[in-house]
Amino acid sequence: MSAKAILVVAKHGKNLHLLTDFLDDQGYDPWPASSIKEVDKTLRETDTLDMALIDVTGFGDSIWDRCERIRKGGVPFFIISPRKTGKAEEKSLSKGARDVLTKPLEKKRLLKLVEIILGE
Amino acid sequence: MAEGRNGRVTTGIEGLDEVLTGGFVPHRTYLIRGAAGTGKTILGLHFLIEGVKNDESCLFITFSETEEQINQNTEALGLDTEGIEILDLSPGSEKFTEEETYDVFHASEVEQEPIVEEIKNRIDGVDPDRVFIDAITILRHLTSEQYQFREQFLSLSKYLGKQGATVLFTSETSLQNPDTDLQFMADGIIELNRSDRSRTLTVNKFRGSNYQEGKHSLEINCGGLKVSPWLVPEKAEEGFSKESLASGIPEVDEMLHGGLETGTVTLFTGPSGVGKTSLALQFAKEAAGRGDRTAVYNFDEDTDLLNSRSEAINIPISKMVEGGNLVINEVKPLEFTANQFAQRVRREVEKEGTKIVVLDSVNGYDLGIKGKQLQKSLYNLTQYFRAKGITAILTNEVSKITGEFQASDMDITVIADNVVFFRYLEIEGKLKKAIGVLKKRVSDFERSLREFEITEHGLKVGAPMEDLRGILSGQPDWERNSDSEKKET
Repeated sequence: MSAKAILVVAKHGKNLHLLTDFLDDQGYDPWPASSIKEVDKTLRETDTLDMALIDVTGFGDSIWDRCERIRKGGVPFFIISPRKTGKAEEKSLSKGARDVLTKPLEKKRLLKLVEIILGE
Repeated sequence: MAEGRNGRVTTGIEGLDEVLTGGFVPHRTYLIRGAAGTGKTILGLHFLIEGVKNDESCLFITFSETEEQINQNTEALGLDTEGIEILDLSPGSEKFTEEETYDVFHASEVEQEPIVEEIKNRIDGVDPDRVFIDAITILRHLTSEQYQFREQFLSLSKYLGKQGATVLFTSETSLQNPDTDLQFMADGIIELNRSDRSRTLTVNKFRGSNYQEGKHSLEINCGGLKVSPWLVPEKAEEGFSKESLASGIPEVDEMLHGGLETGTVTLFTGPSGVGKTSLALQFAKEAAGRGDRTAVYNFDEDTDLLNSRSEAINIPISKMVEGGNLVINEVKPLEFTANQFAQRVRREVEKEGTKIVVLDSVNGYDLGIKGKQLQKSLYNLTQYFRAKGITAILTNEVSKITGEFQASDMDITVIADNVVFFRYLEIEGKLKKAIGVLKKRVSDFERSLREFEITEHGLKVGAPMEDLRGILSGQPDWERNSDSEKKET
């Protein structure tokens, strides 16, 4: 069985790098994207995404369009946000996110979540 | 590993080995505590530099300053880091660029493993005899739980211990982040303190060895750190005979029943200008003539003035200084703490073989020495003199020129074995000086006063004033005068 593909979106280079490295270490197939352009490119190139982790920090409203597109594709996704505010949560959930994860993430918890979503 | 006294690891700091009775116990872990700017890093650097001198391998793990800053700072102190392995784990400037910062995971989850790994790798590579970690508390920020930090610290110090290293580490503390856990885990604690007027070093814990207690003085200047241990009164040394130091003035020696005994402390007390310093120098002159070295610590007067004043009364001190039997040390106000001064005196006694010490004056000492420990520090110093068989003369100025007798304003006669007092007397309308002995511990003494004069030919002392009554009031009467007056009436 091939590794599960996870779209990882983060504008900030080091954050993207850390998330990607972590998922890679755990045996997943992370697809990093640091801009809307890269998100679009990934969505075009693969139709076998199993999941998405989206850090919305630094993106404008356009990121929410992509969220909707991902939801429509039937791919479960989580929003990563610097703060847990009612507004961010409402927006995320209304766009189809499974939940909002607040930074900093705990590696153990993140792994558990990914495992549950991917039905492992 | 090269070893110092008692198989100890020498610190490389003058005075600190003495406080630690030889140095650190090998393979142990020591905590250096203190606020910012108290000298913790410099202490660690001395420790490593000393290791390099002994051909030991030395590792500096820095979490705070960068390697470049460390090199600059040590150079400014006239020290050299050559030969020291530096593992730079400081948050260097590159960490603050956007590329290096992150918030997606907690630092403890990202950094902890690489850092501990990096430390262990470096330890394996260097195989150090001495390690200095500055500051270990940074590791605390990289662990999410207290117990994790403790475990890491313990495993690291065990790992280092197994490698045969002696470890020094510093902690940065605040009210929110105390270092109580580290204090329990360390084998020893050295605390550095700084106040407006002085720096101190205290040993608070030292497993497996005794150490010198007390607040020791600390200096930081070009050349680094220097510790002046608190002078601990020792037991009297055997082997010095009780001799009397004569003044060379027959009348004074008669009053003292021979002179001042070795290993005793004498207080010359009296008002200003009465002749205390002059008599002390007279004793020094006599000692110099016998070939004994005298050290005068001059707190009150300019040395040139003292010179010319003494020459004028036929006490040629410059000749004695040239001959090497007299040394005049001018002590400037706030130049030393009590400990630093005591160490200076100690060097003079132990290295130069000084036999007589004159402290001129106790009042100057009280004003000029940093910190307020007059009685305790003088007590320690005088105990030291007794232990070493030093003849000590302390001058003390009392504020009253005439009037009711008072031995001292400062309540210090208790520390003296002998008290010689001077005073002004008004006799038949003339102001005269008198000298007397108030107490003498080792021998008997003459109980009457004698007239005392300072002349160009030297000090002159008259016959006992046995006919005077009411001397201690300052306005005595001749006994025979009052008798004859009675007869006349």
